[in-house]
Amino acid sequence: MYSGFWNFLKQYGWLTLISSVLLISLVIMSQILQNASSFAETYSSLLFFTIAGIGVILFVLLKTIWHLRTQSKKKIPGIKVTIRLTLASTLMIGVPTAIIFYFSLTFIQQSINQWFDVKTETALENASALVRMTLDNNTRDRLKLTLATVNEKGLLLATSPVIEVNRLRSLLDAQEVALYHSNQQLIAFSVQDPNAELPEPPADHLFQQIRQNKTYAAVETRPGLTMNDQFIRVIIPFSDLDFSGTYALQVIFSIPSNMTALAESVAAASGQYKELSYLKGPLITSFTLILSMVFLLTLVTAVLFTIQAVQNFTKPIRTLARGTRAVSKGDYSIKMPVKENDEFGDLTQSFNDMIQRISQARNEIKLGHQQTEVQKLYLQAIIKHLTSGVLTLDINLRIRTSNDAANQIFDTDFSHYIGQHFEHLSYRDEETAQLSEFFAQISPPLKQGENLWHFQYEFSSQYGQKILMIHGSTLPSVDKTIGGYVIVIDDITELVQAQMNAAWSDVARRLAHEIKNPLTPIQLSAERLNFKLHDKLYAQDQALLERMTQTIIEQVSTMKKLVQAFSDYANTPNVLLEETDINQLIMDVSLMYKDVNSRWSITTELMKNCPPVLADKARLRQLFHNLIKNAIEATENTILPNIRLTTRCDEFEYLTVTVSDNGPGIADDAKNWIFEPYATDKPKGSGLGLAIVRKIVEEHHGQISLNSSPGTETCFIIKLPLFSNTIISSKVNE
Amino acid sequence: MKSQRLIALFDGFYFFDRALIGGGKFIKSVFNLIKIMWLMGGMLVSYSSLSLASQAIQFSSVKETFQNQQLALNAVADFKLSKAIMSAIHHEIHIFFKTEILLLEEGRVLGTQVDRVRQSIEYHTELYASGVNRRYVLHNHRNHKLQTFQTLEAALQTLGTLQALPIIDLSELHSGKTYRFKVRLFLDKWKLPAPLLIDALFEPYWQLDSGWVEREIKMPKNRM
Repeated sequence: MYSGFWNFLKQYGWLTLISSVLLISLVIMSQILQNASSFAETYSSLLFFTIAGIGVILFVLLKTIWHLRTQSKKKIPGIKVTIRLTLASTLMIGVPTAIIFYFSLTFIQQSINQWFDVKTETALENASALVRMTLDNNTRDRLKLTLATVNEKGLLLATSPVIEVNRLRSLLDAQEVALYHSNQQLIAFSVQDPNAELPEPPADHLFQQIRQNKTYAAVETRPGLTMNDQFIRVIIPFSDLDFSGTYALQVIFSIPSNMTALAESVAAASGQYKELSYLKGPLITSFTLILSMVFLLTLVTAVLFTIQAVQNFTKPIRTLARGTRAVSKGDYSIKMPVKENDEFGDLTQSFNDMIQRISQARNEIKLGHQQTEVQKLYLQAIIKHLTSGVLTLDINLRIRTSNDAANQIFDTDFSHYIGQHFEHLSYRDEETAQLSEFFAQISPPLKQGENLWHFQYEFSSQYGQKILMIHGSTLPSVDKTIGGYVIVIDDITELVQAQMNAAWSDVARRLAHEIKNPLTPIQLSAERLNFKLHDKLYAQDQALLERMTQTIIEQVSTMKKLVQAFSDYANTPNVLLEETDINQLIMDVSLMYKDVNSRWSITTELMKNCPPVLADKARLRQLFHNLIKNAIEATENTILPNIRLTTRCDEFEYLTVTVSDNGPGIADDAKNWIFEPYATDKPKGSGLGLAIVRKIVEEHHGQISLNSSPGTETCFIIKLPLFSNTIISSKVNE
Repeated sequence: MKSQRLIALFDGFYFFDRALIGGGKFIKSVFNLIKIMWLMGGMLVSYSSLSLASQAIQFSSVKETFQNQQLALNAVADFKLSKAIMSAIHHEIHIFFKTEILLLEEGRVLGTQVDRVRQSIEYHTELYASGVNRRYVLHNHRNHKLQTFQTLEAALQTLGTLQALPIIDLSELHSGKTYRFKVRLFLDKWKLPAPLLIDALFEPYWQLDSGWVEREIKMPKNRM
């Protein structure tokens, strides 16, 4: 209650005060105008004070309107309502006020004009004339009485002027009688008031009139122009036989009090009427001015009150609009002040509660979302670092996610194809064309919606063949139907290869062990048979025996070599890795095959400044021997056989070595089996050369691939890890 | 004419100076602001009205006399009243004329002329008509003397005549110094009836002002 009162004073107090003071000032001015005899000193002060006050209020109004305009431009919430209500209120107040103003103005003008009519003016004029006539008659009567008394009573003014003057005053019932010489010398006088001083002598021109023997009678005024102070002065010339010269006898009569009172009232009324009749025009102007100022003051004050009231009314709306704007910008911490104790206050409080609840719910959702995100990132990290490839598809068989392992297994970056149907993917480009058979394999179980399925699949890519184990499963959705599919791909090529290598090594070891032992007795027995039976046979049989034993010995020798080759393949000696200059090694090996008489030529293209690799020189030397021999054998039927060895070290991780020849080339399907043991299309050879090559490469953690097709050159590409990377990776592993 | 214009300009200040008496700082500053506005408005009004109301009151003679060891002033002013003002008088409107007399002693400070006010006399004379008696009355508010006249001309003649008006005792003046009389007679608009104020401010025929009339007096070396 207390704060409400102060709030009211703060908002409306100054306006109420100024308006009240100005209104009081205007009322006083109006009262002053109605009493026109009052002078303008107070009026003028009030007039300028009021004009200045109204000027201040007008300035405040203009400032307020400018403020509203600025707010309207800034689109402050609630400003449109404020302006609309203000205009409506101004019209509602202004129109009736203007009508009242118009009628009041007309009424004032008519009223003032009606104050002054001809009859009243004439009556007052006549009354004034009547007063004058009465006074004039009275004056004439006094003159006659004076003359008659002086002539009839036989006054002895010359002999005893003092006594006679006194007697004359008694006879005339005069206020004062004085006898003057024409030279203005006072001779004798008598006054009614014993305390009175000497009588006031007549003016010079009156003495002059006496000297011309003329009488004088008139109403005169003593200081203070009221009827009470008026008197009748009668002066007559007087001469006697005893007097020498002319004398002036002055008689002062007082005017009867009843006549004085009546004359005074007539004079006052006449004077006031005349004054007002003259001020008619200025009065209308002044009343019009005052009424205009009242109208202006009322209107401006009402408009200012209205603006303030409307602003107070729309304040909660502005508060709520500010709050909703903050919320729309995402600020849920805002709390709007609740100042009103009404429905608007309840509305603001409800808004605060609602925002608080939304904020809480939002925080909970945010927290849940963050937890989900963490779990998602956690799963993504796991999936990303899985050695198994993982592909997920949505219910429409569009790719959703893939991990690095899947990209690596299929030599395809699936991130470029996210959101695309996997069947359409195989027709896009050469990179994805190799996936068509894979998609054809997985399509039936996916379309049938099998929950769990798996199969082994041999994937042929441009870099070779991979043996993959494919596992598939459906993903659940919110409505417990199929939400998508997950496909897990394991590259089991190395595992299968290792198993095969182990099997081949075992076979080789067994062969070496089982075959190598009887070969020497067979060879020795054949040589012994030839030695023992050679001389006992005829020449024809001797030649046959020798040829046959020679055949046995040669075949045993071949078998020994074969067994040795199997033995070499089976034995896996410890690799002695050391820092090796691969260019130098290639130069050394190739030099052994450079012979001017040989039918082939060997060329080397080695990149300078190649960093060293960590390798076993002996094993790598065997690798290059095997590859060069293989190339020489492959170019047996080539007219100008050429074997080319190159190195390239522009990659960060690997040093690339290629061994190529210009032979007939190898069929595409040979890429899948050419590195397998005993896989050869040559009539001679153990079929272990390239298998040993791959084994050496794997011992050095490198990669080998074949790039060839019939009719083009054959190129073996070997990638060996650089020495620096090997050191770093070993340190990381430690 | 120039001095008359200035008088008309500063005439408005008279009201404000009176209003300032007893006012606080805030009120003073507000009134100062209004004063400036008034000055600007007064300039417009005065320039437009002075040409019309030229020399409605004019001093025909201003002389000094030395009587009874006193410096006295003799001056005669002539009036040319407009019909509107005469009508106002005949309608028994009381009109106040203000007489201002200044005696300045010339002096110099750092080469600049600085006059010192030795005597200042101001008084009002009220002129009105009494319709019943057909008399014109002059009321001198200085000596409270009341005089009646049968004609307005006689009343105005008496109003405009200053006869041996004692100004200052000669013993207060310095021989050999130069003094200046400044006399001014004007209608005091602020004492007119309230409704007439607006007309008096803006109508040219109400601008009755003689302006300052100066006369230099050289005091003899050997005083009489």
